Amino acid sequence: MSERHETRTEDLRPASSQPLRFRLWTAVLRADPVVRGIQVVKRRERLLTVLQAGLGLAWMALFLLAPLAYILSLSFWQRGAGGTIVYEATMANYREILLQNVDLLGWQIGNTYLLILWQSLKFGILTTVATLALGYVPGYFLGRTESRYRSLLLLFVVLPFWVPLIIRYYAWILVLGSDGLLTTVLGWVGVASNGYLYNDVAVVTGLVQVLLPFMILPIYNTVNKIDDEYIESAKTMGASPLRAFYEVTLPLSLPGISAGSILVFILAVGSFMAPALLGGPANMMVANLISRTFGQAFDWPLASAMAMVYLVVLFAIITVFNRFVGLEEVFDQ
Amino acid sequence: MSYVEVENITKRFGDVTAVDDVSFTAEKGEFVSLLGPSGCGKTTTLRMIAGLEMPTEGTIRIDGDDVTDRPPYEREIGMVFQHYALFPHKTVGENIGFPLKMRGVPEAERRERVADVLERVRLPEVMDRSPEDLSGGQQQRVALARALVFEPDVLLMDEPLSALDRVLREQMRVEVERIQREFGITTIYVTHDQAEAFAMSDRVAVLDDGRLSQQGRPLDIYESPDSEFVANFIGQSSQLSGSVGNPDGTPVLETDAGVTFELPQSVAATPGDRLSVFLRAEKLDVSREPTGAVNEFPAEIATTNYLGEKTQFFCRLDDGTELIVAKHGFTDVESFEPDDTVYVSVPPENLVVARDPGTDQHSGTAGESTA
Repeated sequence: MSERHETRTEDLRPASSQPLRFRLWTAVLRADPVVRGIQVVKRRERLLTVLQAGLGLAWMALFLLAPLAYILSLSFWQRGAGGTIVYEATMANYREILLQNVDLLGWQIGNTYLLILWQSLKFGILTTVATLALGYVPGYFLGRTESRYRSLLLLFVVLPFWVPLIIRYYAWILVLGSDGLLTTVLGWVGVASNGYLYNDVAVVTGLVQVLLPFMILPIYNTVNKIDDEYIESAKTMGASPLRAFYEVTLPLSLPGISAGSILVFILAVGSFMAPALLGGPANMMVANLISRTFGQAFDWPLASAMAMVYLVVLFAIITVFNRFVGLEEVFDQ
Repeated sequence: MSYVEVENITKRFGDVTAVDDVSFTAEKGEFVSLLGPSGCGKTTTLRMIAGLEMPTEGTIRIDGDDVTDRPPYEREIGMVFQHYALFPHKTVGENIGFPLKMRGVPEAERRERVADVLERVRLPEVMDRSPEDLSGGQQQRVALARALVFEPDVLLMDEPLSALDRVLREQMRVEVERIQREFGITTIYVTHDQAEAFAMSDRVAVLDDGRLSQQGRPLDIYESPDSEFVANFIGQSSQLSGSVGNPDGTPVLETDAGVTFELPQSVAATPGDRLSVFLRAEKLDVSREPTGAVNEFPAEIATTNYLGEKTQFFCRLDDGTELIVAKHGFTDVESFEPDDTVYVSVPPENLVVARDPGTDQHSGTAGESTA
């Protein structure tokens, strides 16, 4: 019993740091009797490695790069009559979404696409800040507690994943709608309203609720891995519990915070359903705009250009983030 | 009054009693080791002195102050953890400066004192490095510097050398002792390694299963262990049990293995007592021919192990009991073959004698011992 904290550090090491995809491929290949035969010969083990990497790359090429290349090429073509595609190279799509209606000198950016893109990023930032504010304490608590109910509590965190996304957003309609729970209850205390739906607050509220687990889990994971000895040693050196948290636990949980933040941010910016169900006409986000341009306007080239610009902007943000935080820490989660 | 006084502390975790009524003291500047096998409660005892665990019962006093109920950050304790617990997100200088920062020492003075203490642990010029870039031995010195920089009342160390390899461990043993003497700091050191405890400590407290078995100078503990556990745990010895007989006036121990030992005069033995003798490996003599010495008996060689600085002889008695004999600087090892008969002898004063459990006079079991 007295030695119990001495062994704890070993128990918490992750079982494997290999990406799941590679582990799966390895498992599949190892189960194959032919591959098993190959493994006996040491020289051929390298073949297995090449094969694994090759399959991974082929998978990426087929399902990620090829569609992306198609969208990229689409974005330089034109919309013909009735939504057909005219295979003539043009920059018109990009000009339309980036430059039209923009008075750069007077700083009047009246461009719909850029406005909506900016609104998406704004929602992303708001959602990230809100989930961090709401998610740190539960993540920290789950990481530090030695309660035997921890697994159960963790289950509660991921439980909403079992409910389809659309139902979770509809639930908010039942709360915020004109006959909704919140509206009714506030009505009793004299706050009359037609409901709280179809505005930016409703959209961010829905996003926060849906994306909160993506913030809690990485924070839980890093806090859980912080060795008790660090906190205990801070205390023996004169740090009060609050001081020890600020000086030791918080900085050591930063990788979890950045992992959670980038995940929530990316998922929030690309959200489609939250603005569609909870937002009003003014709360459209970039995914909705692209979807409409593809689907209702039948302008595939223009929609492709929008998708490419969105991709580049998001990529730039992630790159900047990487400069300051280091994405390997995020993927280490 | 001693500088550190641990009085009757007990720690229970649920139904498990990790530390059971342990008392010991340390004088100012003294180096005291808590020695025992893993699970004996030594780490828990240390953690209670640090304030990281609260004792279920008992009192801890440092320099006359009752600190039993004080949290760790209100005790002036320097602690070196088993894995050093150096903060990975702070530089070596920030790590060592941490206790000073917590005490509101301004930054300029902090840097000065950190540089000074690094000098004293002989590790200058690492101030701005990350602790993760240092070797195990260097991290050890940094951990020690961090625990000493604020001149705490007591230095606590929890198996600090166990993560190092053997050669480095022996070097650091000397180094820790040097630093401790130089700072003149009262030190309580936890280890399961007898050599470590003996080499560094003024006094050693041996713990067994949550209880204090014995405390004293290393010499006293080795030469006169006062329990069967201590006699077995410290050093390498073979245990033979038997009953005291009195065939011709002087009490002797007739062991169950068939060998009779003349006992040292200091042992008060009454015929019929159950006793054990512990034969320290290095205190036994082995020869090919009988020498006529006291307490000499024949045995068969089972195997020999030549270890360089010493040779171990595993000898078998008639009933199969094995004894270990260790001879230092012995080179004639090849002339001893398995199944050779040899003569083992031990002077009575080199026997360690302990009463068998259950007939221990101190435990006051009346009844069968009156026979």
